[in-house]
Amino acid sequence: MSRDVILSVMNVSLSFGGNAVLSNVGFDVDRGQLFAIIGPNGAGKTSLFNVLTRLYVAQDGRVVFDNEDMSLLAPAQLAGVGIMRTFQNVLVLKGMTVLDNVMLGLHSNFNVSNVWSAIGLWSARAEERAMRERARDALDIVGLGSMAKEDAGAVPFGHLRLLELARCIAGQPKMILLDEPSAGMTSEEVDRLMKTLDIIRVRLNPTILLIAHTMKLVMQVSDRIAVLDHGVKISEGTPNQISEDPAVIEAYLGKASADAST
Amino acid sequence: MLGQLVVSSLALGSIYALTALGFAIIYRASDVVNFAQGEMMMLGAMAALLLYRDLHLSYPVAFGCAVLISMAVAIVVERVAFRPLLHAPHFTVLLSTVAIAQVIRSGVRAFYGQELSSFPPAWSDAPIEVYGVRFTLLGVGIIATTALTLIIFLVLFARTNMGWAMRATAQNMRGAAIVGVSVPRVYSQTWAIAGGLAAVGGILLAPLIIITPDMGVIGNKGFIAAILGGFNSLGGAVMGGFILALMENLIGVYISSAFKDVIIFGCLIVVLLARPTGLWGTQKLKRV
Amino acid sequence: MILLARGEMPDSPTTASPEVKRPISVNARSLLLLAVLVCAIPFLAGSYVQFVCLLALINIIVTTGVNISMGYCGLVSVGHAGFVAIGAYVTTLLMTYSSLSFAPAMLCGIVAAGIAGVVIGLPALRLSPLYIAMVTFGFGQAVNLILLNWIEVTGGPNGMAVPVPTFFGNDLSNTGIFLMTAVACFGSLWVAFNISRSRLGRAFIAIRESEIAAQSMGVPIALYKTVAFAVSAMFGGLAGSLYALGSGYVNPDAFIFLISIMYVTMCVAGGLGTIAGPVVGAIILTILPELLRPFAEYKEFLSGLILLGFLVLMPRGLVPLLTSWKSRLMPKLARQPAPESV
Repeated sequence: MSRDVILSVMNVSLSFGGNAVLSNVGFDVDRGQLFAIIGPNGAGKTSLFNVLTRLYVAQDGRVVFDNEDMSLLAPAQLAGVGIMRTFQNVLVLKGMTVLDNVMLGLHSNFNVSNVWSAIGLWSARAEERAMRERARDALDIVGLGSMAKEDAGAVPFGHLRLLELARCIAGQPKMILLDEPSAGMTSEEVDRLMKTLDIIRVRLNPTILLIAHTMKLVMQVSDRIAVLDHGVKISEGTPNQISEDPAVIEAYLGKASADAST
Repeated sequence: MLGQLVVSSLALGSIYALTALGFAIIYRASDVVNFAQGEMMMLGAMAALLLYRDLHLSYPVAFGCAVLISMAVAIVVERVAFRPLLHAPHFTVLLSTVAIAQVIRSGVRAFYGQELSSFPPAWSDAPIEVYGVRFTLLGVGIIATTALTLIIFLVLFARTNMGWAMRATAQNMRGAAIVGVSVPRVYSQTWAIAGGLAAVGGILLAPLIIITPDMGVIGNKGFIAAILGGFNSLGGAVMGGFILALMENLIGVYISSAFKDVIIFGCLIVVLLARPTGLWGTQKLKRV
Repeated sequence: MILLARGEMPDSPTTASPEVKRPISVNARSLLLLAVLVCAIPFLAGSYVQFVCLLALINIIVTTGVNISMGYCGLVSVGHAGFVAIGAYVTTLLMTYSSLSFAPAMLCGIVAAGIAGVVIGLPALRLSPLYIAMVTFGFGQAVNLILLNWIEVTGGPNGMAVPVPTFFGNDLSNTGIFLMTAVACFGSLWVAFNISRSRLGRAFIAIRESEIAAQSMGVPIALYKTVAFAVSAMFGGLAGSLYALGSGYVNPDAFIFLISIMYVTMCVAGGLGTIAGPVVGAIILTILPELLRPFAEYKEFLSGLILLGFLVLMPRGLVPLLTSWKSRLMPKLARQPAPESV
């Protein structure tokens, strides 16, 4: 059975001024898979995302997305090739409505030139209307449809991550990178997030890379998990394999617990 | 010749340095560029003129009173135009300092008049020559007074509780408030000090130029000097003042006098492209 | 309240940062009525009032442009008078020294201003807002200096007279010029309105609020910042060429630093980041100096005080204040709804 690998991370190493943030990290992600990246604080997970989205440039290694070498891409070109992400410090834009925030996620899906839209040409207005519908759909998927007209600055904190998620999926990207989407959520909110992720996978079938600390979420939704500790990948496998791996337990809980479990 | 240029730029450089420092401390404490700094200099100079020339007070007394008046005005300005705008959009705050500058300038013009005055110099401005280098006692007086002011400022800033509170607030306002710093008082003190520095600069400048309500434009020079040296570095701002004066002299003499200002701007932009936060400034980092 | 640092917002939603777009919903009919009224001014008012209105229209064009680069995109511009000056002088020079009639001359003025906008924008892109302000300030000063000193071409401090524009052989009257300016003003507002509701406008706001987020959405930051600068410069160039035609005379005093500050003030006092804000600000601050004329030497002092009052009492500008009053008088029907269960 051949794999349909969409993302190939190979021997990625990143260091800042002598500090090794990532060392020889590598893994493959299949198309449509939900691949989680977990690890203790400071393991380098967000840095890995930043490398994948070209905000950081790795000193070593290669990343191949959909058979294209990503080192040729600038950060602003990722949306165009179908990669969208959310951020650990939620970067929702105040000064715009919720709907406009989501429509920003559709930025690279527009075809009509900016010049025509500035003049108010009919084709531009029609496209704007169509995009607005797509944005509304995305909001409905995450359950924020009724807040479309609200000022994004007025959205309660718990819903900000959902808004970012809607913005992320609006353009139906091939791969989405979710950086701690469940941070600060209550248990009910996490359940709702899991259901939302289910709907997203059914409707859009994207490849999902997930960073999360909420084990309930990770164990339940992931197809495959990689574990980072101090910038090194210490384990990779299915949720079951990971939960029993002594190396993982040691990284999280310390050596004594690892010894106790074997 | 080069040496002469260096020496003759020291006096003006001192004044630029004082002005730049005033800009820098307000910016570091409250993230605001105070475009009324130049007008506060003018106010100091005007007050000193009235006290010294018309009321015949002695120079040190007139000097001290003018500085105090300027500090009082600065405190009022902080309360009236800056404090209410703490949560306002950035542009609003900046424009309010511009508006204050206009109010002070046009107020002086309306109530005092547009007449040009000259300030009788407190030290002799007769040229003295030593080893081929020419200078005046006035220049020496300016430099010495500036040095004294900077030393007083340094002591205040680094060694007193007030200075400690100011530094703490500049670094982390919330943290400072939590440990008991009265942030409103720090703001008042910061503006008062900036006003005092402006007044000193203005009074020292006064004998060198003609005093009019418009002399606040010298503030622009201090602004440029602060950018050159680095807006969030106090030492950098001071150095920027001296460097700017030297550049003005060198460019004015060796290249062109008419387009001096434009050329300096060009140089400033080149410097900024290489070091975006000024020669001694520091970057604020953002984490994603 | 003092506990919050400059720029930090308290956690309550009612004091969120810059404005939601489209705060005032005006229906098409009242806009049409307004447009007709404006066009009727030359026939109803005397020449002094007409000229003040002409200046107001021209200032609206400039402030609308400033709003695009500063209000939406967050790029400080305190040298906008430089772009206006380029538009004015290029138009004047072409009409005086070449056989071009006013329309192509104006077009060249606009393009020249746009090119200047690109040239200024490019080095400024990598600098923080403070330094962008420096660059634009320097640009404005440089333009002014050139106008004053390049006497053979620009006439120096004495300025230049602008030839009367001709339309198919007939001289364009003041009324014609006024109507043309009004149309240009409406057109500018139309373009700005479209931009604000299009992906370009959203991208601008994104650049202002978070460059990283904008980049991750696919917005090419450097390109769009340059576009914002160029567009606002072209608005300035248009306004400048209209000014040249409307006043019949250009001289460097009309393009000094204080004028650049005035444009920014109009935007901020009216409401940065809204469409109506720059309009209101331009109108009020064009008329205010005329109203203060009787006060002679106190005029500048009073206008400074009034301006300060404006800024302190209405930090976000007049239009957002009116909008918030309006929404408080007509409370929303639904409160914060929870997301629907999935």
